[in-house]
This record gives sequence, C-alpha cells and structure tokens, in this order.
Amino acid sequence: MTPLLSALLYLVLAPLAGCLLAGLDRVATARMQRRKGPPLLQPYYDIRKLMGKQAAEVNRFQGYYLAGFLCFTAGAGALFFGGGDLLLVIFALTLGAVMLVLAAFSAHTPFAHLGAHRELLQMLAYEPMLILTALGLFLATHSFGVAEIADTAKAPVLVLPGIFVGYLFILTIKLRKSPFDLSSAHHAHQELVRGLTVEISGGHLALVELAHWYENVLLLGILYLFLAPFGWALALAGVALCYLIEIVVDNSSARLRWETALRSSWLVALILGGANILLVPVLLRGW
Amino acid sequence: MKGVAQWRRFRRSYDLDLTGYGVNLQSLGFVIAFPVLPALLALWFRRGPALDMVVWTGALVFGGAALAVAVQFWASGSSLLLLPFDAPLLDQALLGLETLVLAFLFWRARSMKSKAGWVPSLIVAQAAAVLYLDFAGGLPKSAAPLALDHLGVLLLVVAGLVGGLVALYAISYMKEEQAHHPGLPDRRGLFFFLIFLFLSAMAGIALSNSLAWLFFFWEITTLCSYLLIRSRGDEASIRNSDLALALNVLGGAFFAAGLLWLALGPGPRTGDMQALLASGRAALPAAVLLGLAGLVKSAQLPFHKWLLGAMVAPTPVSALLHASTMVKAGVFILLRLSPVYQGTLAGGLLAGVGAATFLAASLLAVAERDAKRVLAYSTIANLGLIVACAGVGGRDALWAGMLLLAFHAVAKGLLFLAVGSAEHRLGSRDIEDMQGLLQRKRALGSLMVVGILGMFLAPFGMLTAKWKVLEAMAQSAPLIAIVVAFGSAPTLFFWAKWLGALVAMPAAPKPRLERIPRVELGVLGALAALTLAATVAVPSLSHLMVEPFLDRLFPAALPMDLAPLSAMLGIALVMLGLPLLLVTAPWGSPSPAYLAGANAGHGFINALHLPQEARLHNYYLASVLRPEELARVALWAGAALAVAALAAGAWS
Repeated sequence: MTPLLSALLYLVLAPLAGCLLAGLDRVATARMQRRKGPPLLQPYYDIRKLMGKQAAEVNRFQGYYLAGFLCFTAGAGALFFGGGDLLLVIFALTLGAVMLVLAAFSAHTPFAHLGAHRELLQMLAYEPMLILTALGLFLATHSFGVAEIADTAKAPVLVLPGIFVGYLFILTIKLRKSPFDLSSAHHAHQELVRGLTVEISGGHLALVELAHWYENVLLLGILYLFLAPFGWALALAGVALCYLIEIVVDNSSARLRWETALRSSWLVALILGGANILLVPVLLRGW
Repeated sequence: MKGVAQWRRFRRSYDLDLTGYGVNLQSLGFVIAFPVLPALLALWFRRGPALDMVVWTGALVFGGAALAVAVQFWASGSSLLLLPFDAPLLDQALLGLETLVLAFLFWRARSMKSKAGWVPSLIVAQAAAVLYLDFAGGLPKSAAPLALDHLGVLLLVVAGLVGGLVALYAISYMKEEQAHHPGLPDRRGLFFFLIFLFLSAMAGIALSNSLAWLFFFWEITTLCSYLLIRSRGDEASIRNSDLALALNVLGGAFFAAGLLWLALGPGPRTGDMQALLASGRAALPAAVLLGLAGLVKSAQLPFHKWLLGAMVAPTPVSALLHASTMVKAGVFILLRLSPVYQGTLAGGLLAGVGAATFLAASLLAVAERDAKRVLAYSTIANLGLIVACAGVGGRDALWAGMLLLAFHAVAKGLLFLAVGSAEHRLGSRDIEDMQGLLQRKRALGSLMVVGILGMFLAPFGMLTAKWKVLEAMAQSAPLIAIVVAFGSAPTLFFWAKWLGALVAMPAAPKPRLERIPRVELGVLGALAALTLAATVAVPSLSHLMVEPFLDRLFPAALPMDLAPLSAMLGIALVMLGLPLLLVTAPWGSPSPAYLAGANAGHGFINALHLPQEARLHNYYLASVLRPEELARVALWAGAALAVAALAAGAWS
C-alpha cells in the first residue's frame, strides 16, 4: 500500500474506528458498573445531534482554534499511518493539542481558564514520556520512520518493556481517563464544570469529539508499533487488552491532584523510560 | 618613518587583487570598521534629528554590508576563505586599544560596590597575559587574521540584520523612554555609540581567524555589555552591570588561559583558529578553556546570572544581548570548536552543561510572570540546546545548532522588542497584564503571537531544529537526549500559557492603548517576516548556509534530504493561515460565558448576592518546582559539570 493511500484510508476510517471504540468503551464501562449502558453507536448519535445544533460561541476565534485542533490531530494521524517520521507526528499532535488549549484560553472565563491550565499541566506531564517513546523506538529499530519501525523483525516491546509500560501510563492521561482526567471530566464535576470544553457547544463540540476519535486511533497505533512483529492478530489483541486495562483503571480510580499527576508521570518517565533508553544496547544484545 | 613604511606595506597588501575569490579584504575590513563611524558620530551629535539620521544610515549600511559580504561569499562558491596579510601597525593599534579597555575595566572594577577583590586581579592577570602573548610575541601570529566561512557568515548576517533592526527600533524606543522617565539624563549619544561599537565587535568575532584578534573583539563585547547594562544609572543597573562585568571578566580569563596554554603548553603552538582546529584533539585543553569562555558569554550554568540581571537595561539592549550579539558570540565559538570536542569526554561534559541548562532554565521560566525574565530564561535554555549540540558534535547536531542560532535570533529579537512596545503601552511587563492583548492591540498582539509560535511550535523553525537535535542526540548521546526530552515539556507549558494570555478575549472593555510609532511596528513586522520566511526557507537556508560548512567538516556524510520536511512545513503553514480567513464569518451565535451563577455585567452574582468581577490568573507551579531550591541545585550541578569538563580537558 502506498503511503498516500494508507494516510487517506486513515482519514476516512479513523472516525469509524474511533466512534466504535468510544461506543465499546461506554458499553464496557456500563457493564463494569452493572448498568446496561447505551447502544454501541451512541457516540455517533451524539455527534449527529451536536452537528445539528447551533454553536453558541463566546468569541469568533474559537471555531478557528477548534478547526486547527481537528486538522492537526488528523494530520498527525495521517502522517503516522502514511509511515512518516514519528517525532514529527508527535510535534503535529502537540500543535493540535495547543490549538484546543487556545480555544479554552480565548473564552477567558474561570472554568475554561482552569481547564486550559490543567490541560497544559497534563501536557507537561505526558510530553517527556511521549518523546522518550519515540527515542526508544528509534534505538530499538534504528529509525524514526513509522514504516521502518513497523517493519522490524524484533518486537520493540521486548527491548523496550519500560517504555511500553511508561507509554501505557501516559496513555491514561492522553485518553482523558481517571485518575488523570484533570482538565475535562466526563461528568459535570463541581470544581471543573466541563473545564476545557465548557464554552464549546453544538457543532464546535462535535469537532472536538471527532478530533478525539482521530487522536485515540493514532495513540493506539503507536501502541501497535510495539507489538507489530507478532503479527496483526496478536498485536491487535494486545492493543485491545491494553485498552481494556485503561478502562478498568478509569473505573476503579478517583481523580488525583495535579501535583500528584505531574510528579508521578515524570517519575515514571524518568525511571521506566530513562533507564530503559540507557539499557537498550544491553537489551538488544540480550535478544 | 618606520611606521609610514609599515603603513605603505599594509596598503599594498590591502590592495592585493583578491577579486578572484569574490570576497576581498576591503569588504571584510569595511564591515568590521564601518560601525565605528556611526558610533563616533552618535557620540558627537548626541541627540536630535542628526542622531536619528546617523543611526538610520549606520544600521542600514551595516546590515547591507553584512548581506553583501554573505552574497559575495556564496557567489564565490568556496567553503573557507583565508585572507593572508601582515599589518604590524594594525596589530599594535589593537593591542594598544585592548590595553586601554582592560585599564578602563580595571578602574571600573576597583570602584565596584560589592567588594569582589578577585575581579581587578583577574583583569590585571589578563592584561599581563595579553602583553606577554601579543607584545612579547608569546603567541605566534596568525598569517591570515581574517577568514570567512559559512558559520562566520551566519553570525555576521544575524548581527547585521537583527542588530541593525534593533538599532532602528531603539531610535523610537529611546525617545519614548526619555518621555516616560523625564528625570533621566539624556545619554542617547553614548547609548548608540555603544550599540554600534558592539556591532563592530560582533562582525570582528564572526570574521577573525587570529585568536589574538578574536580575544580583542571578545573583550570589546564585555566592555559594551557592561556599559549598556549600566546605562540607566540606577542602583539595580549598577549592581547588575557589576555582576555582568565580574562574570565576563572570569570568561575573559578562561579565554586568556586558553591562549596561554597554546603559547606555553605541550600542544600546538599557534595563534590561528584554523590551525587550532586542524590539530584536533591535541588542542583539546585550549578548546575547553575557550569553550568555558563561551559558556560565560552565552550565560550557561553556573554563569547564567548576569543575563537575568541584564534585563534592567532598556529593552533594545536586552534584544541586542539576547538575539544578535553577546550570547551568540559564546555559542558561536563553541560551535566553531565543536570538531575538537566531538567524541571526547570533555565535549560530552560541555554538552551536559548545555543540557542541564536547557532543563533548569525551562523549568525556572515556568515560575516567572515577568515577560522579560521568561524571555531571559528561554534564551538561556535555547543557548543550552546549542551548547549541547556543539559538545556532542557530528553532522546532524551541528546542523541543528547552527539553525537554532539563526532562528532564535530572529524570533527572540522580535519577542523582546514586542515586549518593549507592550511595556510602554501597558506600563507593565507582567504577562498577566497582557491578557487580551490580541484584542486590544491587534497588530502588536499578532506580532507577539508570531514570535511565540516561532519559539515553540511546529512547523516553525525552532522546532525543526529541535527535531534534528533529538534525532542527532538519540544516535550519539542518549543521555543528553533524555534531558532534552524533559526540558522540552516545560517550554511548551510556559509559551502556551503566555500565548493563552494574548489570545484571551475578555468581555470587559479595557482602556485604549497609546499608538505605536510606525518605525517600531515596521521593525517588528520585518522580524516577524524573517521568522516566517526562515520557517519556509529551512531547506534553502540549510543548503546555502549550513550544509557546505558541514560538508567541509564531514566530507563522507550523506546529503540531507529535506524535501519531505519542506512539503510538510508548507502544508502546516497553509493550514495555520487559511482558516483565519473564516474567522470573520462566525458560524455560531454569540453568547455570554458560563460563570456558575447569574451573570451580572462582565462578572457574576456571588454567594452574598453581590456582583463580582471574574478575575483570572495563570499557574506558576511554585509548589512543585520550588524555584529557589531548583535554581540552587542547578547552579551547583552546572558548576560541577563545568569543572569536570575542565578537568577532562586538562587530563586528555
């Protein structure tokens, strides 16, 4: 498959996959809470309804920032599935995330402001581990190119066990799961209301949801890279298992203070990520 | 009579026909010597339209001359141009001037408020070293005191373009400054004298091949920065200029020690930069000593404090020190010496100093709310990244280091000057007070936004260079790469926080801001255009300025493939730019914000049923970062690494 074709396929199929993933997430969560839960396609119904509503906006720049969030997140994914440079994928993803934060900052209201700062805190927490993940994959496969990384004979997870666990740790933040859902709770918690997205409504909110779908597929794609050489069936099963673990963590933990979130993720990045990177030459020889 | 004969001989060598090279001595001599003319004229005219004319002409001619030299050099197609000539009279004149400068500094250091007795003694030691090295012939003279290569051209163009623009901006800024502080004595003549002298010294540093000449220009920048930081004359300025003097004298002492090692040590006995580079590791101790001088000049740990203090000076001085002169001279010499460091323990430790500085300064910037202090820490951090590149060495790392130098110069120059204009309008440089600046002053706000984007977000130049830094370090120095990964996250935090303040759209009306003079906006616009152009032109910049230099140092390496990168940059810029057109056509309906209660005007009704204004503040993470402790730990870590680098250099 040519890079361009796979990038296009991602742009078309990622929303479907992301939508199903969100639906499955909600069903699994409901079952864990002994509820029946919504239908599988509920996220799709939600977004269709949002699209039909008029967006109430506090300023006219918000739509621009949100469109930027969607474009750059989807662009990062297209670059990833097109086999591009993993570091550039991370930079593009960061650019998208900053656009979302700017949308919240531009509203300039207490809850949005709080959410924006907390989102920045979350980025501060996960960014080192995300870059270490790219560095680790480079050291294990001698390439930053996603296509080359996916083509290696040796599964990176065997050389990068620490980085793999560290990436799972920050995946909890990136997927906006408890205990790290600091910036935008799924439920209208008192201290946050909806934080980051409080002033975003209607079609604008639909854009945010859509971007999240793109983002989640990309994040799981990075997870897949660790397992790719095991064959697609096994690798996908591994990714599904990891996602299930994230859901269990989400449902079994309460939100942490930002200090704890920040300290713990930097510690994990330093100990698991840093040590793993320094040990890569040893591990490579060992296998 | 002997002098006249020497002068004739000098004239003859000066008239040597070098046209075949494309660049000749005249053009290099002109670009170094010319700024002295507007400097002296500024001192003569002191104020009024005559001073404005002098500064305009001086800045334009200097910038133009720097560009002309660059174009001539590119046209010549060579990658290193040594211009041999012998001018004993000139050497003696420089030696005389240098002695005068050191005598002046000695006199000032004696009158320092803080009784740091070691400063005057170090100056005396330096003077003794200079007299021994140059006058008594301790250091062999370089046959080609001036040389030109792509690294030198890069620094020359940065000094010429950014330095020239800063000088233009300063015309208007210093007028406002005089109006804002009526009690202040009008010292604009001296101010512009120093700025042009500084630019001349920078051109000298960029083009000197003789180490004695390099040291001369090095000391001139110490002198100029000291007097410029002092220019307001209040207590804080005096204290901070004393600190800058003390640390830079220490840096000068490192430089002199390096030269003494070259003259007396077991290594190569040479006063020529290219000869030093050619002798490779044999010259490592000297290279490490010169590198330490570079660390001081570029405000790395543990010598960083002087740059933080330097912001008491008027904003154009900060812009000059941070963007185009002073600190760039420090990283310039480290980049220059990088081939000597490559693969050595001492080089690794120097890179460690840079990486530690990057991490610590980025974290400390998060805890700052003063815009100029944030910029100062960010400068220190970015220079740390360049130092790390120089210490690690190798093709990719040097590529990144050189581009970082260029991108940082334009974006940081833009940001400092924009903060200066904002400060005069807002009466404050607290970032909290810049909330809604984009709404209140559209032009100034957008220019500042461009500067900030240029500093920390893809697709802008700095990030392209950082991408290469990570790729280069991952290969050759994973430990440094880990530190850089941790240092990148806080830069994201503090820049995004600032950007957030600018793009905020407060509903409450704020008082109108005073108009910004057209010159200031023009300079800011030019720097913003340079920032954007540098982003799009990364491949051609790399092709013209950086790769030929690297090809000479690393002939076997593969050429760089930047085509996919440039395609991506273009797409990203279009994606950032085009949707802005839609902003004028809102899709939604305007609505008031949600404030968890009844809205009242631009605030809400509080629990006591009273209307209350909603006020927003930024996060500074002081409880987690504990800035004072962090600064202390960083200082000691930096000192330990620097001492270790020195020891490793001496050991080799």
